Amino acid sequence: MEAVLQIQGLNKYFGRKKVVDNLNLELYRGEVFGFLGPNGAGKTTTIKMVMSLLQRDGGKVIINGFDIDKQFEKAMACVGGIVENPETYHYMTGLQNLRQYARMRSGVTEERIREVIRFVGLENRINEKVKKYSLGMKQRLGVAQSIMHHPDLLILDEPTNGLDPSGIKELRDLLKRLAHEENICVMVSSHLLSEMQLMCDRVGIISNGSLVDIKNISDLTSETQGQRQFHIAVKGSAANAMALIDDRPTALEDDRHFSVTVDSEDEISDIITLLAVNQVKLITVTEAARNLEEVFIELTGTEGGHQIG
Amino acid sequence: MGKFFRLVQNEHIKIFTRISTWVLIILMAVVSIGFTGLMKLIEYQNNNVVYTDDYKESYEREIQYLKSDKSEGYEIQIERYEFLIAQDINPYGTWQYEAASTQFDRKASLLSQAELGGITEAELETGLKEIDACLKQIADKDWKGYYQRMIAENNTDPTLSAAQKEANNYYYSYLVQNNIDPDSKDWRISLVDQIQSDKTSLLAIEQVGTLNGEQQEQAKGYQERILMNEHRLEHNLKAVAGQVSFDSYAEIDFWTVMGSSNVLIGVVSMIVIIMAGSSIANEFSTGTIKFLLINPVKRWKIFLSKYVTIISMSVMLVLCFFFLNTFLSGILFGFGDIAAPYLYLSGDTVRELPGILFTLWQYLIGSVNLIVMGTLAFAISSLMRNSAVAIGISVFAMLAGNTMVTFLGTILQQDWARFFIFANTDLNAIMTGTSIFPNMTVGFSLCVIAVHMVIFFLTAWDGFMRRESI
Repeated sequence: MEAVLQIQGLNKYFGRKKVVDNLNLELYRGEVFGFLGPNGAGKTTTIKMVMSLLQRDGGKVIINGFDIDKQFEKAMACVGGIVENPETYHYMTGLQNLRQYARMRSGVTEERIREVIRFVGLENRINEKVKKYSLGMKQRLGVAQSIMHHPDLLILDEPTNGLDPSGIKELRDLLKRLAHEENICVMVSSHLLSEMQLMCDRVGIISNGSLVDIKNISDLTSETQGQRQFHIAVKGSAANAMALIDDRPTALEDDRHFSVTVDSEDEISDIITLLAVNQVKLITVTEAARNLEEVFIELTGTEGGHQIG
Repeated sequence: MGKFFRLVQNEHIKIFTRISTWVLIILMAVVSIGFTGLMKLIEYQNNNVVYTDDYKESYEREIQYLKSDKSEGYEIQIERYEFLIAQDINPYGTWQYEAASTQFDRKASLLSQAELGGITEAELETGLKEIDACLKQIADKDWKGYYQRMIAENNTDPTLSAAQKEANNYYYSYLVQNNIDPDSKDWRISLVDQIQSDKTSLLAIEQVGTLNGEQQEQAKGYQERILMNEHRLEHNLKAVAGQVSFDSYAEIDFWTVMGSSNVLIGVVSMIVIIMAGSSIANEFSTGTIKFLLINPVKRWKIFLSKYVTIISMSVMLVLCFFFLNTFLSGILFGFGDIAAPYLYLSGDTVRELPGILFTLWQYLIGSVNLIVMGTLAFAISSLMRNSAVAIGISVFAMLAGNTMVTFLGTILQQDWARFFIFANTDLNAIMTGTSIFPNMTVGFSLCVIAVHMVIFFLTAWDGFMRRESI
């Protein structure tokens, strides 16, 4: 498969601190790639270097086969994106903003501008000044800007920031459509695992400037099928109920709550039956959300050997 | 090239979609309207000077005073006031008043000469007769007869040289020959008057014999003014461009307003500084710099498109200001004189240039300062990435720079101050030799300006191209 984006040995220092450490990455057509990491891990810095907003301290970026050092204009012609926030001239209307962008690109017709406005659903508000837009509308305007020139690589930095749940769903569907139907490569950064799971085909995990792992989303979910922790709330004494379970590790949380760690869904099912049979009045059984920290600890701890780079 | 043009187009759109730009342009229009309106007001005031008709009372008061004072020759003075009262002559610049004063002074000096025995009885007799004849002509309001008599008298005066005769008679003979009533508002009268006085002054200097440098300069100034004024009379040029005088009797016309309006170009400078100071800084403060730089456009093209935009806006604003002033002056003072020429000397011949072109040229020369200040603001904006700092420093530099140079040059007499940019941007003054420092040349100033521009431009370039924190 042809790589749309190749990052080779990317480094960046801020002063003496190394914020991106020998990062290697290949992204392909037709996929939504999630760039996952906590705040300050180096996601935005990496994206800025790919978009040549920041100078690199070593390493190569090749977009569609064009090296951004040697064929800057050709390489950048294949990229669209939003870095940090969707930046717009707030004193202009949405349409005027899009036209500004169109004039800096080649071959974006007025027709195409209308098409992307429809695509992001801004037809009714496009002639209003951007300062009257909500954050979600600005985000959509940003997407319209970044796809109007038919890029091969679309890079969106934290695109769900400030969006409401329906907005997030809309954006998710939109990005999937772009990747799977129009066969472009979409790179999305986020610090929310749940979001990535729903949106991405592949996820790269970055921590302290280095890429820890790259996984297909299906692999990531299957791995989390290992040990699972459940919170159980009961009416009456949690300690008594907990005492009934002797073959699994348990932990008391307070008078009413305790947690249990199991290996499979069958086991938790058995535990629920066991508690019910023993007249324990169950209120809720919920799976503990696995936060990113845990995934990190898990990935860096148990699968350190798979680290790339 | 097409893409660069589109970048420049983008920059212009950014400027024109901002409301603040229009506020500034309206401000510029207000200054223009205010200035021309003010000139109209002054004209109105000048035209409506109310001459009180109680001059007779003041003549009588004078007579009372003279009678009580009884100073030497007071009888003649009383006679003079009585004549003025009898003939109802007002003192507001009428030829009769002037002539009467001349004749009674003459009478007084004649009588005192006779008393001292300097002249014979017969001579006194003819002299007094002569004066009586003059007074009769004054009383008859016969200015032509009076002037002709004066010419004849001058011509027969054996103490005057031919040149002096010509100079003394210039005013009289021009008015008589061209049949111009000296009390009319004919525009030629003040010119003729000025020529006569220049000729007299020139003769007075030349009598000295060998002239020193300053006197030569003075003589040259008189000669040039005589040539220009004679050219105006000869070609019937009532209005000419570029001659601004604000004495209260001078008529304010279209060209007076246009000729002085270019001092207001500082308003345009402010607007240009504000635009240039926010051009790059605003992109950084709003984050839109990222929007610009993720495009397939090299950084230096974006930089250059911004600078080109500032220059083109400067020129556009200056032209707008020029046309606005022309239009408003025309509306308030009439477009009748718009075709009037600007006169200049090439050797000893007077040449003409369309006045409107000359004024436009003055505006463009005046905008050199504006472009230098705009570039300074642009450089600081690029370096500091803060529009308030860029605008503040540049406005301060513009206001304080000239004061500082004037202070250094005229009060402290520090000649090296001529190397400052502010000593060099007023090319109009340098061309006419009215600059603070002696012997400034346009070439020198252009060099100083060029060096500063290069420094500003490279600073801006470096600030934009090299620093990367976004």
